[in-house]
Amino acid sequence: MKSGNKINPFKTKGYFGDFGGRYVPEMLIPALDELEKAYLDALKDKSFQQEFEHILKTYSGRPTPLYFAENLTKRLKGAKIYLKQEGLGQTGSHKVNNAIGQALLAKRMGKKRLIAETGAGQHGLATATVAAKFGFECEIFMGLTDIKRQRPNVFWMEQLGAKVTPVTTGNMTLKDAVNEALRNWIETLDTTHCLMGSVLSAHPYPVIVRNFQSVIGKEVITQIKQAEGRLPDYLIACVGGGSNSIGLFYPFLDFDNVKMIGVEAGGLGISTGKHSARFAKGKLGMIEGYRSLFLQDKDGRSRETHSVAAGLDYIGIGPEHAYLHSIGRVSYTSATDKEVLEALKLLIKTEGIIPALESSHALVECIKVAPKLGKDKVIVVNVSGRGDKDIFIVAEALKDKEWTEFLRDKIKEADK
Amino acid sequence: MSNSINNNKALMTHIVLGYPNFEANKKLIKVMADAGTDYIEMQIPFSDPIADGPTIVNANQKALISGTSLSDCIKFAGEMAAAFKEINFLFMTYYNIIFSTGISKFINDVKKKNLYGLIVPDIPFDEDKEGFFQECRNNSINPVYVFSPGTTDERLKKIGSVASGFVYCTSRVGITGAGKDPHQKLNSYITNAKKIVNLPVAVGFGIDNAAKAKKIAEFADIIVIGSKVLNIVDEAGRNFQKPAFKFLSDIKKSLS
Ligand SMILES: Cc1ncc(COP(=O)(O)O)c(C=O)c1O
Repeated sequence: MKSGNKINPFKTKGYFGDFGGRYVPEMLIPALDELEKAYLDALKDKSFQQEFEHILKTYSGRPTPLYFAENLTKRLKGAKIYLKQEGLGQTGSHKVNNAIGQALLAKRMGKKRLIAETGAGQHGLATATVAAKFGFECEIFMGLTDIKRQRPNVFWMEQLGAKVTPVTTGNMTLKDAVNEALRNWIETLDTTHCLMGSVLSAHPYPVIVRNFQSVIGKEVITQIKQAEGRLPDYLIACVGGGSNSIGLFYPFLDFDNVKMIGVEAGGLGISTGKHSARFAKGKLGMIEGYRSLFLQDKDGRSRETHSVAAGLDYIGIGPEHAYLHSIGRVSYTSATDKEVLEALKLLIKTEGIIPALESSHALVECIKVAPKLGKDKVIVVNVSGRGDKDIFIVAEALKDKEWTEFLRDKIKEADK
Repeated sequence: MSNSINNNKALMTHIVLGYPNFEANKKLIKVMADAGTDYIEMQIPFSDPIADGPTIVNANQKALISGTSLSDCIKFAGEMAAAFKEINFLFMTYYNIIFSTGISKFINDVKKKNLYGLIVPDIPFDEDKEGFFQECRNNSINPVYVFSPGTTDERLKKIGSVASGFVYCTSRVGITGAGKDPHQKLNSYITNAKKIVNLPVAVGFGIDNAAKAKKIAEFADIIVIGSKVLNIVDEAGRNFQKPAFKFLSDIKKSLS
């Protein structure tokens, strides 16, 4: 075991190596300072951690299972595959871990209102859920493109009492929702906590979100030791902003024998330009409040991105990932939309588990890696969410005739 | 350029380059010049303008869709600075545009075009790893720093040391946009800030009529009008010159 991979950005002015910081209008600085102070206070307060853990357990159903995917393992004829089942928690994805943590922080700060950006709607759903539970007013910013493709989540957010505000600027996807959440926050700092959903934007968000999500990796350490009596050889997770992956990776960073792979959205293929592969095609820059790698044009404007998975369809990468990449601790690869659908179908058929499109990116890599490894090797894949929300996209992609008929019938009924 | 000494307060206006097009930008700048504008902030459109409200965000987006490039903006700025020598032109944009060009190259380009300064709202002095502020000052390009009521005295001290020309305080904690009321204690905040930064203070965000301008000019040195002119232009369409001129000259009169 070696050290040096883990950075405490509270001691480095918010930087992970060359990445991170606070590239924000001056007027956000006091709010970020307030958040940093509240979080550091909370860290010292044992009852805060206890309450967080209690809610994770009783409300969210943690620990989530680490499941040995025996059928998939047999099918791939290689390493043993374990799935960390984040989709089995409250709201169906890892996003709720962070939402609970930040809601407790917001309560400590005396805020009355939560706002959040969302891509796939999973973070919006998690935020709307904790808002309902803790009694916050709630507004979710979501790109119009994403509203159209992730309607089931929009419906539930609204039922939970949140106002879902469509964002019609730019690509109308996640990065535009982040911009709009930041703008709204600037207007409402006194009453509102901006509940950032991934390890991005300005310090202290990346470290706060990472710490709340680290519960994933901590549980895996205990669970895999129980199951295998040792640590895994590989960790694989999908990377949008990077929260589920860092949550899994972080507790393992100093175990040098554990290899880690982050999987980005390869969209229609890197060569088509329609993807969200920041490590393949991104450049250093500072957009949306932080310094990291971004997909941008020659003048430094953010480029259009694409992925079948709304939660990965994003221009930037959390600064800690950019750092871990720069020091070679974690490797990053990508999976195309097409590969993702194949992996999704395979997991459904072999294990009876319906993963989110985002998480299916990690499975693509697992399917590539596992057969190349000996049967004594162990892989842990983070299934960051379940796929119920994707029923419309997947049914369309699979050209399911009966589903289309069902939709037609539903429309007829609704029109009556 | 010594606005703080003169009793007449200066007027700064704002345009988004390439919106609706450079031809219209040129006409609007002419109107601004005729109305006695002292400073013009020319915004280089950006994909992710987080400090801006709906009016300016919309203009940024349209300018980008119509293909406005950075080199178009720099070329146009040079033409304007040559044509309207009595006006101080500044670029307003976001840091990534400058970073991606290269700090030295960008500042050098700006210097060649005889611009007065740069307004970049998303590069706090703490994050200035590239030496942006120093490089500006070394090249006699004024880095105008944007802050807002709530910025602490301690930070104001630093701001005073990195900025030059003037500083820019937002009238409220918020994004750009017309029709919102200034911070309740703006007057005393600005009066205190001015002592600390030791530079003239421009105040903008939400100033949309002559009465507001006059009131804020009691303690500010430069009044900034942004979204309101854009709103007027958007509403008037092709014939924006007359209403824009009337609005701006009324403001200018209220400042003397
Ligand atoms: C299920 C699921 N996994 C992954 C992601 C990607 O986000 P992150 O990289 O922060 O985990 C999302 C985002 O919406 C998601 O919903």
